[in-house]
Formats: sequence, C-alpha cells, structure tokens
Amino acid sequence: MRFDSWLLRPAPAERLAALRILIGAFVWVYVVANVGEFARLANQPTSPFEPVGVVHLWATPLSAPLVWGLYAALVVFGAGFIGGLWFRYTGIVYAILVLVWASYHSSWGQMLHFEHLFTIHVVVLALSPAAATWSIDAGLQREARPQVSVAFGWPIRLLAIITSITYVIAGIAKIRRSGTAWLDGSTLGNHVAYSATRIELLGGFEPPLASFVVAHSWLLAPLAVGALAIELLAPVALVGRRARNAWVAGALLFHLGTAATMMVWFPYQGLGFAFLPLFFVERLRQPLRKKSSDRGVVAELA
Amino acid sequence: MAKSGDTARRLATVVIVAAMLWPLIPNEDGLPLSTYPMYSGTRSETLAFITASGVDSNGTSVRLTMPEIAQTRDPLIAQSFLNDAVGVGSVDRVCREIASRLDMSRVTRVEIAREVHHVTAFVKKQESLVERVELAGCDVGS
Repeated sequence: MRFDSWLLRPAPAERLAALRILIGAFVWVYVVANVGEFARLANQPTSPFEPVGVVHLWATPLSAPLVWGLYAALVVFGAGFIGGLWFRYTGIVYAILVLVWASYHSSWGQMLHFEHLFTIHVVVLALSPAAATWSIDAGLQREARPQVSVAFGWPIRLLAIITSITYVIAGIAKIRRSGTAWLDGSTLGNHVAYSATRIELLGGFEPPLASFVVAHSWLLAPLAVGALAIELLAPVALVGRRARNAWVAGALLFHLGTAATMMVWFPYQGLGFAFLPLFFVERLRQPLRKKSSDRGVVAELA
Repeated sequence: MAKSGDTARRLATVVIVAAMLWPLIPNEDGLPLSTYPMYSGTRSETLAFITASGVDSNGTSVRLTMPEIAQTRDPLIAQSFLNDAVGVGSVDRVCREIASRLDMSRVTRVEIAREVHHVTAFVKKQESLVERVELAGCDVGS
C-alpha cells in the first residue's frame, strides 16, 4: 500500500514540464554535439552492419541523405519537444526518432549503452502530459488545467523507477559474469588497466587516475564493492530524501570515478540528468520568479 | 474514472518494470532494453588489441588519433572499428581507408597489428608488449 500511494502520488504539472524541458534539452544538445557521429555513419563505415532494436524493421544501412534527414528531424522535433509545441504529435515523433537514432548508432558492432536510458526517458515523457504547462501548447490553449494531479506524478515516478532499475541490472550483470572476482577488485583493476591501455594505443590520453589506482591496488576492492553497492542499492533512492541524496551523490561519484580511471563517461547519468525525476526540479525556476508565487508550495506534495 | 485510471497506471508500471527486467532471463543485450553488461566480465592482465599506427619517413612509429583511425573520438567505436576489420577480413581495405585520411608529410605508412600487452605493466609505464603481429601495411598516398 505504501508503494502504491508513492507511485500514484499527485505532482504539479510544472515538475513534469521541467523534466520535459531539461531532459529534452540534454538530448537535443547531445544530438547536435554528435554531428560527427552522423557524418561517420552517413559515410557508410566499413564496419559490419548488425541491426539493433528498431533497425531490425528495415535491416539495411541508411543512405547519407536519410542519415542527414534523421539528424535534421531530430533537431527540429527536439525543439518542438522542448518547447512543447503540438506536443501530442511532436513528442511521439521525437521519441521514435531518438529510438531510431540510438538503435542505428548501436548497429555497427558496438552497443552504446550510454544512450539507452535517455531514450527510454524520452519515450515515457512523450507519452505523458508533459506539455500541460510551461509550453507553447499551454500558452495557446489558455484554458484552466489541473495544476496537481496523479497524471503528472505517475510518469515522474516511472522515470525514477526506470533509472533505478538500469543500475540494478548493471549490478546483477557484474555478479552474474564475474562473481566474487568482482568483489576482490581484481576484475576492476584489469578493466582500469585495459581501458587505459586501449585508449593510449588508440592515440588518446590516459585516464588521469588510472595509474594511481593501478599502483595502489589496495584501493581496488573497496572501489569495486562501492561500485556494486551503488548499482544494487539504487532503489533506496526512491524511499526518502536522505537516502536519495546519499545515493545520487554516490552515483555521481561513481560516474566521475569511471571517467577518471577508465575514460568511460555516461553523460546523461554523469551530468545528473538521469536523476532529475528524483527531485523537485520545478523549483529550479523559482529564483527567477517573484517570491510571491505560490507554485513552489505545490511541490511539497511530492 | 480516477480509479480505473489508477488501475491502468499500476498495470502499466508492472508491465514496464517486467519489460526492463526481461533481458535478464534470456541474458540478451538489446536496445532500449539491455542487460548492461559493459565492464562486468572478468578480464586477464594479458590482453590482445588490434592497433593502427603510423610510420614516418625516418621509420619512426607515429601514434594515430581516433578521428584518423575511425572518424570518431569514442574509444569504444574506434576499437570496434578495428576489431571488425579483422573479424570480417577487411583489414587491407581499412588500412587504405585510414591511410587516405593522413597527411603524407607526417606519416608515410600505416600498419594494422595485433598487439598483446600486459595491461598493468603498460599503465605502470613498464615494458608491456608480449607479442606483435602485423596484419596489414599500406603506404600513405599510394
């Protein structure tokens, strides 16, 4: 019953709208910044084409004009998603486009796991009433809308649950594939050394803390246990503010750590966007508004 | 109305959570549903890498960048690009493709090789190369 009331607790429309804007903005910037990846795939890389996800539907490489068309559509519909313009349509189309891009990007022999979570989040947002306020649609309609509703709260809970589950699954994978070898740090040590060696052989820069961690091998076991604990204990972030804050701080450190020791960077998680559904994100706008506004008070319902 | 809506939300939650967890059963990675297996398996200290390096006019080895090798800045994609070249037997073609991206004044030859390194020694700046087998070589500008 307690989980049920948590799952179905009403939330202000502004919170869901803020998630649409912030998560949408992250994905939009991510796509724009990755123009080089579109260029690479438009040039028909020589890697074997191995369809992943929705790409199975057509199972052939896209022509260069189609790849650039996909890029342009992502930019245009992404702007519609962020601005909340004709969201009922632009949201769905944008979610499909993100799903197609993420699938196509991973269809060349390397699954790019840093694109999974934001893809699922965009799909959930697209199917929710995330443009009921703070959107062009809301400005055009001018009709009274419910300000606090389970219709806004439930998708936010779902986003948070999905974030949490992805970490738990990653933790399960480590136990399944490495067992106790993960816990004693030896596997982590070899991963750190492998990543540093690989990136240097490919002409990149050694991760800044790789040498330090490998040289101080006593650090590896606590780091490995800590990483596994962050993953398996992710659901604690759903149960209360203190647990949430502690877990999010740990998860951010975990991502900083993987970047500093292995040059493995999951930007959506590492920059904190994946964790926004756990917070009263509509309050980010408060300092910009008049103090007399009472909208922030609504957030206490969360 | 609200109650039936809540029931639908509960049901949808169960379905979505089950879908997220489903890949664990067949243990199949996919997108958007994944087993997130990255960096979860065991690794030995001695590992093989497919490398692409340059040689200048003096015969000195020159390290190539990821954009030069695979038109990317992502090491996962660059490594996958080289591994696939060996996997599908297109290493000569990939060698020429890399050579076409290089300036002859800096690099005159490209070599693709399979190198076995003791990775911990590599990170500690100790001698790490266990074995090197050249798989393909091609001249820049040819």
